[in-house]
Amino acid sequence: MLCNECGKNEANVHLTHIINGKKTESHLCEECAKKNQTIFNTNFSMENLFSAMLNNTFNNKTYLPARGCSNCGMTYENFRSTGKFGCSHCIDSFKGRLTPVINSIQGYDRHTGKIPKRAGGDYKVQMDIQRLKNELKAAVDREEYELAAELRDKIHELEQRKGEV
Amino acid sequence: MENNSIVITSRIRLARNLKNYKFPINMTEGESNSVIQEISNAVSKHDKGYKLTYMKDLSDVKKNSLIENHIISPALAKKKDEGAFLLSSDRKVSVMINEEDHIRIQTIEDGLSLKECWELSNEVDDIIEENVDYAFDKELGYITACPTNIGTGMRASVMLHLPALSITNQIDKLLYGVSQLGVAVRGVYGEGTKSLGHLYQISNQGTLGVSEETLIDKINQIVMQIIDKEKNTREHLLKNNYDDLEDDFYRAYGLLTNARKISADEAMKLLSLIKLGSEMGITPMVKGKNIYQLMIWIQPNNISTIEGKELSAKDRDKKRAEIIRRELLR
Repeated sequence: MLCNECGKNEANVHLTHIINGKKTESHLCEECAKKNQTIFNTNFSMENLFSAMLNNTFNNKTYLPARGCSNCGMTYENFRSTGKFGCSHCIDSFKGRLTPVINSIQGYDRHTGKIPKRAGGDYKVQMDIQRLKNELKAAVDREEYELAAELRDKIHELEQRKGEV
Repeated sequence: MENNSIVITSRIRLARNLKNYKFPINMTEGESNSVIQEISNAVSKHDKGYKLTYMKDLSDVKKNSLIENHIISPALAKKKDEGAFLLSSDRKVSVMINEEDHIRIQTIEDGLSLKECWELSNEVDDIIEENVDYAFDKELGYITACPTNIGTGMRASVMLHLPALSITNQIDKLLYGVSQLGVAVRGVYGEGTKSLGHLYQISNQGTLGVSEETLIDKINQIVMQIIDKEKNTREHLLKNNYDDLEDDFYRAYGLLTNARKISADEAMKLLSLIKLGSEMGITPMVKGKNIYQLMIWIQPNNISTIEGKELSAKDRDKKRAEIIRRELLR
């Protein structure tokens, strides 16, 4: 196939553009592709899209320039431009404003997965108890009383441990 | 036809950070060294014969070769001063240190085995947490440098070889469809949407609000459907296009076993064809050969690594043709 642009050289760069669902293809030779370099610099990485979203969400001026993060000094401006936190404490420093953005990118605003033993501490035990209680209820509904008794003992054990953590 | 021939590998990656250190983007050299120390001490409690390697001790070719083998990420390779990784002796677990996050635990298994990967990652994660203080928030879960990873910090991905769907031009539609389900799809080798060797990676996009097990179930279900579609298409091709296929496969085999120089692009395309041919029972001479492994070996930096020195593109093409001939005709 010959290059779409110059029509002289063999096309060896193949580009597919999808704009608003409409697909166009172009086939260029190396020379012409180089001239069109800008197309390659379009970076649609998750991070870039994310920081663009941040900028959109926070463009309204009601948010005053924030103090930096108390731990690492990262400012909100900084976070907005990079889309990255400077340390784990940034979350607390920016939390109020972060929730809508996290919600819009993740679709959720609350973790429901694994809870680490040490860092999760009391909270882990509390969530484990909650989970076991749900299981207990299901076991009783299914009339599996032996399992229910086991679960009840486990809950009891965890409740005693809760105070100790 | 085995599912295993369509699903190449499964991989789980967990992002974790230490509470008391700034994130890698913000760290001093001293801090990054203590993070490396702390994490490698913690990981050494896991009895898997881990070896610690610093990015600064590796040549560019070696780093890129590790990327081609999916042992480290491109982002870690860029952390030439502060990055390091621990690799288990069976090469199934790699713990990347000071990439975007302090810790990236990665486990890889053959075939569709996300559950096994998760169990192994989870085990490594627990062992590390016994010895370091993780950054964790009750509401937001594991805190990561980028909010797109927050929550479980987990990325579950499955690598698929989908030649029949690609040849019949169904792949774009299918991939668009699954992307509507909160799943990301990308070519494994090659940039952008174009995939070399018809290898695709399917992974979860969201990391918050859904448990690890649920995310894995979801990816598994989607993958099973894609496998079904690929299998059906193969059967359809076998019934309706046998002569064309047989010709394509034998031509591919002929080129691969005779070429004296070959580019990675061309080789990947042809290898994908003979892998398909072998799985469809059309090219018996390829049976029992690990074509996927060959696809990895012929990546540019791996060829230089095998050769023990950096090669020019022209010499690589010659060496690549030689490796392929040797492996296929053995």
